[in-house]
Amino acid sequence: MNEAKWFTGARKFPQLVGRTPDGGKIWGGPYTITQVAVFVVGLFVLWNTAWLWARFSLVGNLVAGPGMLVALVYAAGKLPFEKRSPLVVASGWLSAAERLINTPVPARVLRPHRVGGSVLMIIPDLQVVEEPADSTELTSQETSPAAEPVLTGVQLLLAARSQSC
Amino acid sequence: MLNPAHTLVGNLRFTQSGTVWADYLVTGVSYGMRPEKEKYGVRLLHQALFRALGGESVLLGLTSQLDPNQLVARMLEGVDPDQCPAWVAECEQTLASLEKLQPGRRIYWLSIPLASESPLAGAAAVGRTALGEVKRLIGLPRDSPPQELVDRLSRQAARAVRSVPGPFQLEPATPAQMVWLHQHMLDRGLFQDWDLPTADHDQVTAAISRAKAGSAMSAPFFDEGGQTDQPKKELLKGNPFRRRYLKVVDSASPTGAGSYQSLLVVNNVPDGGFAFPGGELMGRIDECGLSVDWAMRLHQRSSAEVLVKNNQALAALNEQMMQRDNEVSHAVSALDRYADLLAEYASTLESDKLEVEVQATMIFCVSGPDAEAANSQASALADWVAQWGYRLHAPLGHQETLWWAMVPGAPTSLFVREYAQITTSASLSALCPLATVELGDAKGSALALNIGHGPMLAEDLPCGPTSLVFHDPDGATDRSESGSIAVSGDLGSGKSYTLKKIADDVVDRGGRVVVPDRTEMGEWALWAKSVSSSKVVDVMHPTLSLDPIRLWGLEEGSRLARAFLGPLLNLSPTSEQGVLMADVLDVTYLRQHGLDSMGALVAHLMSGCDLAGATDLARKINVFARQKLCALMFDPDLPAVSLSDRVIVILTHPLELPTPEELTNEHLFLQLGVEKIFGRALYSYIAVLAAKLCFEDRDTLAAFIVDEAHNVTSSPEGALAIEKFVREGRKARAITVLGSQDAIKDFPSDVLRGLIPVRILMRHTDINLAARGLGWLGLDPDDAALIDLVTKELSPKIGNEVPVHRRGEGLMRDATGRFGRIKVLAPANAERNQAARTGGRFDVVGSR
Repeated sequence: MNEAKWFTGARKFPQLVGRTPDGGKIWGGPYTITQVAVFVVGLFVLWNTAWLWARFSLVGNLVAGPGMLVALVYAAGKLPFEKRSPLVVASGWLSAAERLINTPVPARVLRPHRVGGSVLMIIPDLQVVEEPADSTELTSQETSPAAEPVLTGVQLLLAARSQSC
Repeated sequence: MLNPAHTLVGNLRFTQSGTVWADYLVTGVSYGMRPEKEKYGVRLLHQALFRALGGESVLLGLTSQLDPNQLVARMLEGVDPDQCPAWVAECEQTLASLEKLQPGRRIYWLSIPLASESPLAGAAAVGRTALGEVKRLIGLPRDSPPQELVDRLSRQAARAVRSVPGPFQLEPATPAQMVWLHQHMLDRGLFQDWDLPTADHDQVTAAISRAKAGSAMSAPFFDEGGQTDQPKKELLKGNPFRRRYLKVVDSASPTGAGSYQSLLVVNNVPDGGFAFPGGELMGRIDECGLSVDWAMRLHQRSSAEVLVKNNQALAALNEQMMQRDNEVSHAVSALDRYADLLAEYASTLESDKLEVEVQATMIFCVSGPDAEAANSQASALADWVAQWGYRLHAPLGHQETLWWAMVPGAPTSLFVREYAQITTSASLSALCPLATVELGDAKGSALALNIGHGPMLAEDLPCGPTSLVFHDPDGATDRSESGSIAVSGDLGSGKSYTLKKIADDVVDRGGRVVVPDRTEMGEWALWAKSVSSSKVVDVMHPTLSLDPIRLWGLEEGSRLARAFLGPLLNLSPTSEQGVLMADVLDVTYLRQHGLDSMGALVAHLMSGCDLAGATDLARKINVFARQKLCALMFDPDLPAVSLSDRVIVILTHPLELPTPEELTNEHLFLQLGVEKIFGRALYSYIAVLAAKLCFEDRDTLAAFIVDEAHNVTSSPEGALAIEKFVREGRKARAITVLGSQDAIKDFPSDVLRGLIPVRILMRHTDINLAARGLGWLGLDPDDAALIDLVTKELSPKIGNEVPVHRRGEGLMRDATGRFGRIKVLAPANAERNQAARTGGRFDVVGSR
């Protein structure tokens, strides 16, 4: 009995951020790259959509905004590490969501679509016989429809064999 | 979006990206149940293949239907239909049953992109593609690639695959085959596959060429999640995670039927490695019982490239150690694990300078005519693969991406690369993707179904693509091999049924058969009734004579009579009575006294012979000749059996045979009864008679069929006669077909065991007999898994009976030494099928 091994884990492992460049520990860390990305994007979105959600008192807004950010970062930390970029997973989900929402752009590719293109097939020595089977059939039907017996599968095979001999 | 290919020439596929791919059909390597040592050999072949494929490549395993006509044509090969109408009828009925069974096969396909030989050539290729696209857009006819370019690329392709091991028999694909591949991918799950056109199959090629106007490959319509199946206003409803499939519609299809395909990619692999043999996930994928297409997108990296990547990984690991210093969690120990794995990987690559890294993205596709079928198969496949430690994932929103990843010529997308699993060529080869379970001869009689992937799931429902196992005794003679076959199995395992099936085929193919039958019910006599031109010689109720003098005349008959009377009377040739017997059996003497039968000879010895001791010899012979049991040899009034009959069954019940102890111990030997002494002599004579009958016409197939072979082989004369038959039969189109419950014991000599090339081991419930049977077959008798297979998994009883679809299972060693699992096919003719059964009044055709 021999063993074979996958070495994917040697090169694809979860990357976490737990310390600042000067070596200081980050509070609550370490964080996955996904969490960092979610934090940055979340902060940007929340900052620019404050008009939408910041409808409480000052204290309320100070609690709600960071609270949402913390919740997002926490949720992102729960995503399983699947040895692949979360962006790739997200791209599929977003595409699917877009498909459901049915917005016009982007990811239009996911709409039912036809793949066109013409494929040229070059067969130099092919002798294309001009519809011999159909024409023979037609002639025989015209002359004597009952003359042609119906051949069974094996009889057809034997007939083909005798023709090729 | 456009089809990646735009021109197909020879085995070259010119693509929209400017890259040219070369396509090959690959022959799988026989693997199945080979002994472990040989499996390592197959693995090494795979390793050499992965090393030979530099850079990118796509390896495909496609399940395809097999045309029943092609299989039946192989049954008809070498047979004159006018002389063998029964065989033609058998073929007709086999064709009908195969159409229900839908035999299949796995087609292996390799496609490699050809690297540009220079930047200039690369730029020229891109320019040519762009120009072709412009021409297409404005409706101008497109130029075919210049012949000089095609020749150069063909040479480059041949160079690229020249290191691929010979057993894979790379065969350049034709444009028609490439179109077949495209159509196969569009029509998955719709059961309307074309046969793969062969390279010289002009008719199919022409048909494919004519099939579509404007483009050789029809345009597919993709709909992920089957959106077109839902009313538009309901699109928001439902969980998209439950619709992870791709609906593919061939726009050229007249029906517009959709093929629902679920594409799954290997997401997680077993961290701790996997065993070999035993971990051949890709090679054994058909054991899952589903119709699965797979693709391996491979990317090979040299050691130098890997070194850079590994150093980067090491730096990243060090960084992670720092980032997670002082962290209290299990994750930190995981970092140590990654570091160990990386160190092992580096050391593996360093220890073998020829070793390369192979990144493999493994994609599977299951399909059906509706979404439910695709979903349920995807789920079943994921569960099956999980047993091996792998996890499959059907990525939402990327089903089409994976579909294209299975298409040669389509560039590898970033998404597909994300799922690449990293390993070495040595480890990847343990998956044995090109392993097959092929078995048997190329033509002949359809002996069995190949159930190498697993037993039948129900009647007419095989596990994985299945085909027929042929047995070709005629062809064996032409190849200067023996076509003899032996079957070993427990009582009720289907051994006798198999023998009768073989006998049927020999007779129907214009051959002759001699069968001694010792059973009380005379099962072979029942079988003979279903065969035309058969005669039954019954020891108990004699109506026909086997008297050698009457069958073959004085010259030959006297020699055979001596061979019979010697063991019967236990005479030494040089003893007084031995000499006397030689004298009276002399041709001149027989002719002089007008003796034309054994009966006449005995009467002459008794009353008309002047030679000394004649009366004593006559009295000795009369001990037997007076018995009714011996009338078939001595009664001159019985008509002699006709030698022109194609089937001769000799019922020997209630004759007995001496045990080996009785033969070797003098005092026991002296106490032998008439039945045993006559039985021993008669069986020896039958063996000689069979050889005489079967070797007479060296152009006619003949079989000597001995069920319960110990009846013949327990006597030294019988064993020797069988051995001689096997040795000489090869030259005379005569085969021996032996049945036994213990092959090692019943085929007493190594020579006899070794001379029979085709062996079938059926169920043995006893562990010791199973182990002995495995040893005889050529497999490891100590392998617990194999013993379990023979004792518990071959034709298992559910309740009191074996289900119909599990009957006749066995392990087979074919003439080339390949091993596999089979299910013996019933004779397609219902009357023959019934006649071959011995399982009592409930054992009738169609019973459950």
